[in-house]
Amino acid sequence: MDQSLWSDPLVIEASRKFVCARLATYEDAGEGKFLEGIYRGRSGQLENTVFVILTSDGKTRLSRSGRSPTMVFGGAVGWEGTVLALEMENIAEAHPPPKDHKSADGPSLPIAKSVRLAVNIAACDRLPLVISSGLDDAQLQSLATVGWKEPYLGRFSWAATDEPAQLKKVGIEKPSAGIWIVQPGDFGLQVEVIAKVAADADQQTIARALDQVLETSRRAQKYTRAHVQQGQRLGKKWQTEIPVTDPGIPPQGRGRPGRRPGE
Amino acid sequence: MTVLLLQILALRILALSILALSGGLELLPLEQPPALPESAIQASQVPGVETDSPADFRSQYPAGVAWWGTWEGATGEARRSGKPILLLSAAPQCHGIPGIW
Repeated sequence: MDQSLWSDPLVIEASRKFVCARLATYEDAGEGKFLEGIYRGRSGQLENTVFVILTSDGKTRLSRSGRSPTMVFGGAVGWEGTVLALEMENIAEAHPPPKDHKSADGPSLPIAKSVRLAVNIAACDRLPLVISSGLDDAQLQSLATVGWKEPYLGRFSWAATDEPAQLKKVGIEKPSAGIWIVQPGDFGLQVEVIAKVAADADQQTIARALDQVLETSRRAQKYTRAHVQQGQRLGKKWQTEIPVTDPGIPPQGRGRPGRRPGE
Repeated sequence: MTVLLLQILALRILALSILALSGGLELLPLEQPPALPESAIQASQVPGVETDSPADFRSQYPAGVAWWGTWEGATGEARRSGKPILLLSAAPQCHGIPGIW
């Protein structure tokens, strides 16, 4: 995944007009089948990355599908973000939410499938992770209300669980109900606890804790080759839920060399 | 070479103008200073000196896309909001090593 594309300010601005779903490839059998239906490369199998824009019911394509936005929309080197943002703006303008479409509820938390996966994703994104443990519906909604506000939007990863064992597996020694704010390790297998907030904390208290984390922690730098080499040396391994089927050989004329297979 | 540079500049201005006209871009005033490189920001953070400026931490964690991690969650939010869905998938491992896209 080309992270520079998704950190382009024009793309981030345009993204607020969409529901942005980033599924973890090979981490869910059902989603894998769905993604295969969206795009299959020349190998005929699910590849590492898939991209498409769909209507709000998820049934109709509003763009071609492909491995990446650059494959779908094009864009010369250095212009991919601008081109993607323009295409997103055009699609959003042509397909706005219906005027009579109103919901009484706010958005829920954009959580990952599991705590284990959330820790890995947070490490990939180099973001702190918020794990809610044993929160009731009202407490979850309160946390979500804070999470969707600036400056927290897009600056944290999110996970939720009712099983203390999931927290233990990622290195939280004494799991209990509450809101855990953690920093993922470099390889996204374990976490370091930065702060914990009570499950029934008010929104101001939660916001203060999130502010403190943003103020005091620093985003790690990562370089793919060095990271992979170090991971291999240290014996760090990730077991995917379903087999990896990406052939790892970029077809001619698609994408750029040197980014496979992680992209 | 100069002609090429002028063409690139003109194209960039055209693209930004289209985006601005479509309401997707909030133009900054001309006097807005350019963003400092990270090295300069780090250098300005003197140990022991506290600051309340939110810009300091936002430079460490710049704004990002708010990603939904599951298809179920994303479609639920799309139903709620009526917004179109931008769907991306990516593998959170490289050669079996986690922690990197």
